[in-house]
Amino acid sequence: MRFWIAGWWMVVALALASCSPDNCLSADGDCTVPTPCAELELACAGGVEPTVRVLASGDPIPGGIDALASPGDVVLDNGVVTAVIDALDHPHYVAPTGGNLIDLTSAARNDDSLTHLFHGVGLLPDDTIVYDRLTTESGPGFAAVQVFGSLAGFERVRVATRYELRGCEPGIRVRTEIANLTTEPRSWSLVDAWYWSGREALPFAPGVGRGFEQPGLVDTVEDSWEDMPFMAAAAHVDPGATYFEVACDRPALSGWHTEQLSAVGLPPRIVQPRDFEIFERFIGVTGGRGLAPAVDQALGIRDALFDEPTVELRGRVTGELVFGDEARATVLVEEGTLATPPEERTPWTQVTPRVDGSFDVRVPASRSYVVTVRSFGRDEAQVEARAMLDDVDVGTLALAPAPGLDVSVTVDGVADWAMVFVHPADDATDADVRAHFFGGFYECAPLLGSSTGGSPACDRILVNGSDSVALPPGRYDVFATAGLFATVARDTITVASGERAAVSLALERLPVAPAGTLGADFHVHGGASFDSTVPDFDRVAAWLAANIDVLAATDHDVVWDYANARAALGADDRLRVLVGLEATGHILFDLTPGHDIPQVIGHWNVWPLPFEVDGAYRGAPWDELVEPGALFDRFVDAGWPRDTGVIQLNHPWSPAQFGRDLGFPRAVGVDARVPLPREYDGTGPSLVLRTPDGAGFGNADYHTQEVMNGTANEDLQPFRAYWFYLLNQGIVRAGTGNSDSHGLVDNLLGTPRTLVWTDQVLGSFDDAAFNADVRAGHMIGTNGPVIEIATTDASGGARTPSVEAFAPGPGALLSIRVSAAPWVPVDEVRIVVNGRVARTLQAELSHPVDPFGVDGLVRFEGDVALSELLPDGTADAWIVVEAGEALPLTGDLNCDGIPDTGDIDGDGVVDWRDVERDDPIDAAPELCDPDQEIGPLGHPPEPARDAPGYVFLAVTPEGYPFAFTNPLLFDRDGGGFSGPGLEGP
Amino acid sequence: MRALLLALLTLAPSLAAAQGACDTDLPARPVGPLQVGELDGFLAVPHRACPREEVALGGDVLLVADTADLYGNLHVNGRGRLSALLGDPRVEAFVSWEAVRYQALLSAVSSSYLGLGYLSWGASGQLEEREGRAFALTGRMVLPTTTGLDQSSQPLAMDLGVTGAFVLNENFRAHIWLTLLGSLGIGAGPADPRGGVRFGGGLDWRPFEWLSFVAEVQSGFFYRALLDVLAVNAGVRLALGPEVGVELAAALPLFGERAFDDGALPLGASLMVSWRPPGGFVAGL
Repeated sequence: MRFWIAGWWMVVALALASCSPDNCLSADGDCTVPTPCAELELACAGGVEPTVRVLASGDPIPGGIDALASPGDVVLDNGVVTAVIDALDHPHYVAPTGGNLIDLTSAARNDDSLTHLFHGVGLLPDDTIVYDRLTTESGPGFAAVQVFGSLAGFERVRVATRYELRGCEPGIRVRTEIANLTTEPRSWSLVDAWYWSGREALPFAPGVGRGFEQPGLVDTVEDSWEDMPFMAAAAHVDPGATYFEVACDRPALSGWHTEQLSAVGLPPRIVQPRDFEIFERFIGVTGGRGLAPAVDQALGIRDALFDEPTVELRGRVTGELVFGDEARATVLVEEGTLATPPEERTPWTQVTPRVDGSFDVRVPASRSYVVTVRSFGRDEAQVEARAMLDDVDVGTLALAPAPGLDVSVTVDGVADWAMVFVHPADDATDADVRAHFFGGFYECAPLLGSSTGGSPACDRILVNGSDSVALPPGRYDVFATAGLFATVARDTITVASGERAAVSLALERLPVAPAGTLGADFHVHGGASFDSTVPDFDRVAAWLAANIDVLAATDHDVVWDYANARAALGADDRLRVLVGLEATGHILFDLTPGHDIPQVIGHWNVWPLPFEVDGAYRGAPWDELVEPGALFDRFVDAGWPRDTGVIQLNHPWSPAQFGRDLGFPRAVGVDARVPLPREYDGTGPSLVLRTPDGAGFGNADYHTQEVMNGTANEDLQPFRAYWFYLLNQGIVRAGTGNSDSHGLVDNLLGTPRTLVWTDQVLGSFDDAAFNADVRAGHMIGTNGPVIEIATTDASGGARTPSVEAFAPGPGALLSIRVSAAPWVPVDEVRIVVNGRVARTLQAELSHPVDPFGVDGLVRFEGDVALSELLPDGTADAWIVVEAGEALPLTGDLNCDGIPDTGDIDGDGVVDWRDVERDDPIDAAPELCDPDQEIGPLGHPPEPARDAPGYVFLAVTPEGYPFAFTNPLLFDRDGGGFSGPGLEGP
Repeated sequence: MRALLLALLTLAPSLAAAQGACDTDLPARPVGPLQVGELDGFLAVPHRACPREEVALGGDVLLVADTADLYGNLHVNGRGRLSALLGDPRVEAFVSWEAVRYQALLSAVSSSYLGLGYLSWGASGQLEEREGRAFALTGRMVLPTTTGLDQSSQPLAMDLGVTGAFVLNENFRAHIWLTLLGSLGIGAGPADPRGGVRFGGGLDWRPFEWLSFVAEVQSGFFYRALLDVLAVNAGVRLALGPEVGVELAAALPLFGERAFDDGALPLGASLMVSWRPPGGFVAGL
């Protein structure tokens, strides 16, 4: 008995010892989270007394390419930094609620380049944090926001986060506390998730062989975590900010980085019931393009916390520079010596030289460094420096004077906008100039500028009449293009160091597009999208350079109208903008019955939507956690006109990215060999035609489907196959071709585009009437060829492509006319009947002699009797006509009726050997195994520089000519169009 | 407590009074409830009603796999146990220590631990042994002796229970138990105290003196959930001579937390080899 009394007293004593917690994990009500980074004392000056306030309508909001603050969000401001915490009912992207960092600007207040910063403990939806209470606090020298909540999947896991801003500090102190009050152990890694989403900021973290070169997520996932003293990331745009994060309560952050997302914080560990984690860090921001100011701050904080002294390295870059241009000259500082292999050095910082070529950076003391000047993505000059306890002048790094290119372009004799491509004219130049911008994003040859920002970008320049650019020495072909229906001009230059070359390129608009048509791009992004940093001005200039007539502004999860850039460029005099949205699911949920992995519903375009200049998501509806039909209801609630607006199914068969499905039919597991269930039967495919409970729309109540998406058009055949699959079942949606352009490099705006037959003209444009033509399918999709087809119906009336079926006239002919600019190869015309190519015309086609000329536009004109094409009998049928190059060879390895793999090894057979695998295999997988690895579809072989098709490739990177018409739908039995069925006739 | 014992007596099956409940020709063969459990430190695993001195070595495996939730918990340990009589032949002190513990949490991001495990210590006092039945009262405390598994909060757990053993006939014995358990966290975080009750019973069939098979039903309430656990346990016991015994036991939670009814695959197993010196430790050594 005494034994047990003693034991209980020990328990009581121990329990009392823990009764004064310095945290909010035990509190049921509001609590004050301890101040983060209490040990950190930063010496700084300037700024104002920190304030915290809730944004009201009409309040000034921070600006920047990623700014999303709206009334209800909470702003922390000290005159040096402005931070916006999104309101609890304004969740963004992956986070299920607000309470996360949505905007973060420097003192300039116009350079927000932060997509989103949220918290979590793992990769599953249940591992994100749901905040349900928000409080604010302020006092002498500080202002704070506190949020309280739990894990999305576990109410018993308590979370509290404090964001605290102090006077003059270049960032916010953050403390997150999380306790496992469930009854089981969990595997957690409490991290800050920086959502870059691609084409935005490029993360950087010091490590051996690291810096910008990060391995990302590896197999196994938990092996991805690496320690780092800090993290920094810059968007490398103007205006743009650079961000950094330093842990306060431990010597290193642990995490990983990809171009999509960085996760930094605590390493994964087992967290037993009742155990908890506390993570304190400093999240800062500096203005400008380079990393150095942010890295200097991060190292200063580490010095203050961990007694890690730093020294200054300074120097000067000489040569003819375009200052501030990071592609022309940027300085990288790596720990190591010149004898150290590059992969064994530790990058510490990156800086863009000032106007006078000078630069200075801070680095950890008592180490050796290699200072490298990189120009056009290539290392040009290096010096080794030993930095002990005193600042070091590394001296002068001389750059050879860069060649210059002066370009002038006219369109129809007048200076106008055009896209100019600079391509290596020989293999030697290609090998010399091919590079990545800081090792990330796109590979460019040459690298004239960041591949994700404004002009010059990668290997191309937006020119309005004339422009100049620096470039590396070499021999180049310079091409100018003004869209699909104009000539292409070329000149060839050879430039050595210090030389200049001048080219004048004259373009001429061609009468390729028929009268009564408008060229449209229904899938366009700009900097407002979370995965784009192209400035609005460059985005709108690209519209003008492409000579597009109509476009749908469809940014991800935000409505944006580009009004300022449109006004500055006078764009509204030349084109019509339909303001819309691309609804982009982020939060995974149980979509498909029987599917173990949670999913999203893919991407959906919608236009028009009202733009709210300071509204949440600028007028877009929250698009998470619902089936498409219910999403369409939200569109209506946001002001979309259901009777005259358009909803488009985007890239229906694209593979998932970062675990998020891009195409709804693929996500739900459609098998194109079997008909779609017409009633919901609990299977994934039966979701396609289902109306969700309580919804006013069915999941298939969209109007158009992308058949062509992207300049490379690599997913054409799967999208086409799915569209044919629906047509064969009488499920008719109009087909479109769109660029899905996010910048100047990923996809060329307007290539492809949709040519719409309409009575509307610019200057007296009726959106609803135009949209009616779109919904009616009076369109073709094209990246060059223009196809006009017509036939006659039973009453003798002319019929052209549309979604309206008709009975064909007796003896009716299919009239076909194919035109194209001379630089667009058209090798064949295919007549597709009920999904199969019934006839291919090749010998009948004519081909222009000079791709740079103006002659030879019409490639084919002729008639074919419908009776020769349609199957016998009276079953419904449909015809689509295609033109361009022969379609690349593809196969369907997983036997779902959709092409998935191309002839990658070029042996003429598509099989398992063509599949790109991380782990090679020696034997073929089981035939038609639905879980086998598949893809890629690949690209056709590139023509040689002197081949006729090279001109097309030069201005349509990785693309091949293709155009398609919308269908002629034949209701031959008079019972309405129900399709010919999957098997024929 | 006395009333409880009387109640248990009343409910006890017909007893074979010829043999004592703790009598055995092969003293090393394990007796009483199976030593298998799913809680850390063997919390709430009922102790035998027959005191003895012995030392045992072995290991345990616990696997909980819930693929629908992308959750897996694998725990393997090597364990030692020492039991000694404290002067009074009816009072036994015991200590059980996970000398090495490996645990893997399998999820989208997995983690693992390798280090020391938990130490539990306690005492059992036999209250009665007569007419083919025996009862003992046992208390146990589980201490957080892990090396990094518990970081910011240290769990402290205790249980107090009574175990009964009965001789049914020459080949069958039965045992029952009732245990109160509780725990809390010690540290700067929430104590989050929890408590519950467990009871169960089993049959020990001995076709031969050196071999027995055991089947049990175990239930628990309130500790982790209203229905904490409803499990079936099974085991086999061997006596390899008079001094060495072996017990292999398995537990299968059918209902409760992360049990079969949840769609999970839970399984616990334990293997212990014990040495019982003839005459006790002093005489044996």
